Amino acid sequence: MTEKMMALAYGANVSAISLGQQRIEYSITGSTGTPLPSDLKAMVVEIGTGGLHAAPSPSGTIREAESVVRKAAVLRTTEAGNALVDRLLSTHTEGLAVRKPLERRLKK
Amino acid sequence: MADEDRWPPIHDFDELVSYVDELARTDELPTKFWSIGDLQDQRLPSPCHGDVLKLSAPIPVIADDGQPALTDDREHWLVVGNSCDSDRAMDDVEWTQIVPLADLGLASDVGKNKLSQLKQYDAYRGFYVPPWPGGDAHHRLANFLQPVTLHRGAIGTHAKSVARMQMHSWVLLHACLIRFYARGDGRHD
Repeated sequence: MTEKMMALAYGANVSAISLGQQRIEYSITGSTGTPLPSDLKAMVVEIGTGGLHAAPSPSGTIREAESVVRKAAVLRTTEAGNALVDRLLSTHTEGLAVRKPLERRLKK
Repeated sequence: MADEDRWPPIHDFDELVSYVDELARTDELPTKFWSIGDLQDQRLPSPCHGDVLKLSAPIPVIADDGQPALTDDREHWLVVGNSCDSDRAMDDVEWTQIVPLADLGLASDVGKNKLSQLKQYDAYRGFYVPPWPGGDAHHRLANFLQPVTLHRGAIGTHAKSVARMQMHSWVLLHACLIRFYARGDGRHD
């Protein structure tokens, strides 16, 4: 089973958040003899530089993102604050009352 | 900033709340908010998320008739695009994102009570931008409702970074952007 895992893992490509296309490899840490699945540590090889990075854990990334969103979303808002900002923005813009057609279309 | 690892999105929520409280109380907001020295650091991308750009331009929109149009003129904009994208080759990423800054005027124009409220950062559609060192001493308000796409080729030629945030103010902007997209306006709370 271990050999099958390694065969499937090695050479698989993953898209990374910040780096370019990467390939998963597994490294074996801390054990001798026949490696067990728990010995396998997913590493990501950056194609192009050959740099080795710890593979992002999909569930870990999702949990972190969820935590960030949940925390930031509870940063307080108040009726008074919202009303003031809305009033200030509306008094400092004429919005669609100022309307000029665009004169230029971008071309590739 | 360039010497450290990437800043985390929200490194400590309680610290963020304390920072907002501190901003609300301080009379020295510009010194706690801006890091003008970082503007000269060539190792940093240009522009960075949170930079203020001086760019004289109207706000482009798609209007109620479905046609593209230009509306209010603005002199300054807040960068909400990702700093990492600014660090990429132009062929990879041509565009960044900015929001217009409404010019509220001097402190005497805005009024003490309104300024005190704005410094609470308790409104989710706008982001208060204090005067930056070396600027015109005007207070401004970023409008999250009108994001604009800016071609990165304009940076340094037509658009110039005139202010850059410190880490805590950057985290605050980041949190306010997430809050804008992630929560309701509280009417039914």
